[in-house]
Amino acid sequence: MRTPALSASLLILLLATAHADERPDIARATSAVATTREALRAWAKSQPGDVPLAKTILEREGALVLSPPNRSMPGQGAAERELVLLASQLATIRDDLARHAEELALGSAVGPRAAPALSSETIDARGLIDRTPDFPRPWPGLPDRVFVRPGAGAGGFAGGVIFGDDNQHCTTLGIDGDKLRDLLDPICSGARMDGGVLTLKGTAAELRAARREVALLRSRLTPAHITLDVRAYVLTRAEWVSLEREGLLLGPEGERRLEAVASSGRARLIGRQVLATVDGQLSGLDLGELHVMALPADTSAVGTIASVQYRTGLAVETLPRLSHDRRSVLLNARIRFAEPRASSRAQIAGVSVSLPELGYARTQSATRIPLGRTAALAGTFSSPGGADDAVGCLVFVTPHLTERSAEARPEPEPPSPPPSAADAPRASLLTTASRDVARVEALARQVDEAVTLAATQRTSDPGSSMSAICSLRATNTPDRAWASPPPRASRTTARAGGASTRTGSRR
Amino acid sequence: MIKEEIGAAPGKYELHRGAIIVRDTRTTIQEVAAAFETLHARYDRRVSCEASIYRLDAALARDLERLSPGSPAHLSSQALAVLDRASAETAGHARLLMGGLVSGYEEQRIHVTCGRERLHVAGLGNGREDALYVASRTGFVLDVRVGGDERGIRAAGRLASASLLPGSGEKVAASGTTLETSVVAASMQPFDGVVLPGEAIVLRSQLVGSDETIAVVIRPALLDAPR
Repeated sequence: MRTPALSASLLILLLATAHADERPDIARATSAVATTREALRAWAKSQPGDVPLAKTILEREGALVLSPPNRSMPGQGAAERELVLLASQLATIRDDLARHAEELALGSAVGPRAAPALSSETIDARGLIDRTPDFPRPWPGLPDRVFVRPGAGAGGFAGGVIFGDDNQHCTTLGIDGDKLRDLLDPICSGARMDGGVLTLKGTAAELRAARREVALLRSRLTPAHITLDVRAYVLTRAEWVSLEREGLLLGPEGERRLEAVASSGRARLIGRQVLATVDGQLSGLDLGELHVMALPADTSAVGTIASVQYRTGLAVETLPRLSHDRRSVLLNARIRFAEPRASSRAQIAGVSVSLPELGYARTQSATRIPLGRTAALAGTFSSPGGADDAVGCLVFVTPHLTERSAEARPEPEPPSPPPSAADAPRASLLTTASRDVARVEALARQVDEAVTLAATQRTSDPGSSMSAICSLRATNTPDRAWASPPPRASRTTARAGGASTRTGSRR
Repeated sequence: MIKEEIGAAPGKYELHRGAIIVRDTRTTIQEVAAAFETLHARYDRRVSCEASIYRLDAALARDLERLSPGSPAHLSSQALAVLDRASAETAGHARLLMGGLVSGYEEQRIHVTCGRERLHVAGLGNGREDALYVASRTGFVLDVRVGGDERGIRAAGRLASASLLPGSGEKVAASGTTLETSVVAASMQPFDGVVLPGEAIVLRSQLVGSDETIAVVIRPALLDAPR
């Protein structure tokens, strides 16, 4: 993947200078914390001295204050982090108040403090960790490498000569399963990933947050299916210039004219294929021929004729990335075209062989194409009357989205368990609670609201999940692409006897 | 950078193919998004570049120089229009030898190449029947970076070309093997220039013993408007 070469200092500068003004939600949370603190202090002071919770609150309330803005940290980031810490402290006080209210209402009947009810559920995340493979294309043209295939025989080599381009790099689509589990682990009390199925354990709120998270990831990371209509033409530059277009993007009239030029014979269609591919998948078309020729490559007493393979035709390797607004596709493409020219005959060790000669065109491009529009990716112009070496091959692509990806729907809620029988007497008792109980409960609610407001500043907090997915440059085709160096003679040697083989100096 | 800035704890930052998933406070997420927006705006601009090699007669070469006064390595938009008209005519003063176009990212190294590749026997090895196979390529390679700045569109790179010359293909028979010679005219022209939209960089070579000129015309373009 090509990463912009920026120094870290630029980003730090960006982070440090962003957002000078305070956001309304932070102000609201700060105000709620301050009001709650005052209410807690008032309540604690009004209690007799033998109420332990009142003493605890008076001890802790001094810590429930936001620090003044710190120059070393951006104001809002610091405030958010402090609010998150305060939310945790207030949550403890809220729970203590709720417990105190129960004790006031039930007296000795109150049972031991129960841990929050945990439940578990499973989410099928196989679509997110899809392992759709990539399909790199075989390249036409004479080989970049020549080597002798080890084979049977005492000498270790059988003299087989293989021309090949081992450009096989398979990657996979989809998010890594362990990373998905890592993302959900802080949200829940526990997360496991087994074969694409997530097993989550947590409170109802935690599980709700996890479902939201998975839904968000599904909506953004489930690969969309894309159709690419790839066409390659032999086209002169004059015809190319005559097409109505903006840059490389053909207008409707330009598309019609291209069709007309092709049907009139002024352009020749080399190949066309409609690809059904997936966002982020390395795929492409391969329309060509595989040639097998014979070369004398062994001067042992017996003599060996080795078979040599090479391809001709069109190969286009595509890597589409759908834009976030789902209106365009950024298409990285590697294009290679080779067509046979008149081959020459030669005598080698008394054997008459035919040596190939190919016309070739190679390039690599990155083009952003609106869905449904046609753009030229790259290529070469044909040149009737021009140089013998001229090879025309200009590639056009029209992308389409073949389906809508999943919307950000949260996972369906599992059916709620019926209220436990133990809650019923508590509810009835609380309705008859004293004024003190009502006051404590009201205070607990107020604290709870402050906790909610403060805690929403933290995105990993259950019930207030927030993730962001930032798009990188949509390519994993690096700046390599130097399949073809400047043209020059290079040497490949298939030595007799197959004992050694040198690779040419072209790389 | 992002990882260093927000911490690399599992569950806080994950790199997905083509995306970074960040879990953090709203402000941090907004800041990361803003940083990415800046990076995209600066580094994700698309460019294209076309290179065409022409054979010009002396009269047209003079006309083009006259239409681009003071800058022999540039072709004005007016000169380009004259060149395009001349090359479109069947018996014009300009003949397109070969050419191509390519698109990519701003400041990314992009290339396009075309030509001929051939395999022939150029020698014998140690043994009498050792064949030395030579794969040779002729044609051209455009290797260029295109970018925009306050002066215009900058294109820097090289254009390498090679062609078989008369005299190639001479056959020599030795020990039952036909050897073949090749004579290749090779050139490599580096270039670095700034043009305005609609203009081009031109590299001219006067052919020895001829009044014709070989002109390599490089037309860089920015495809995305600055954000």
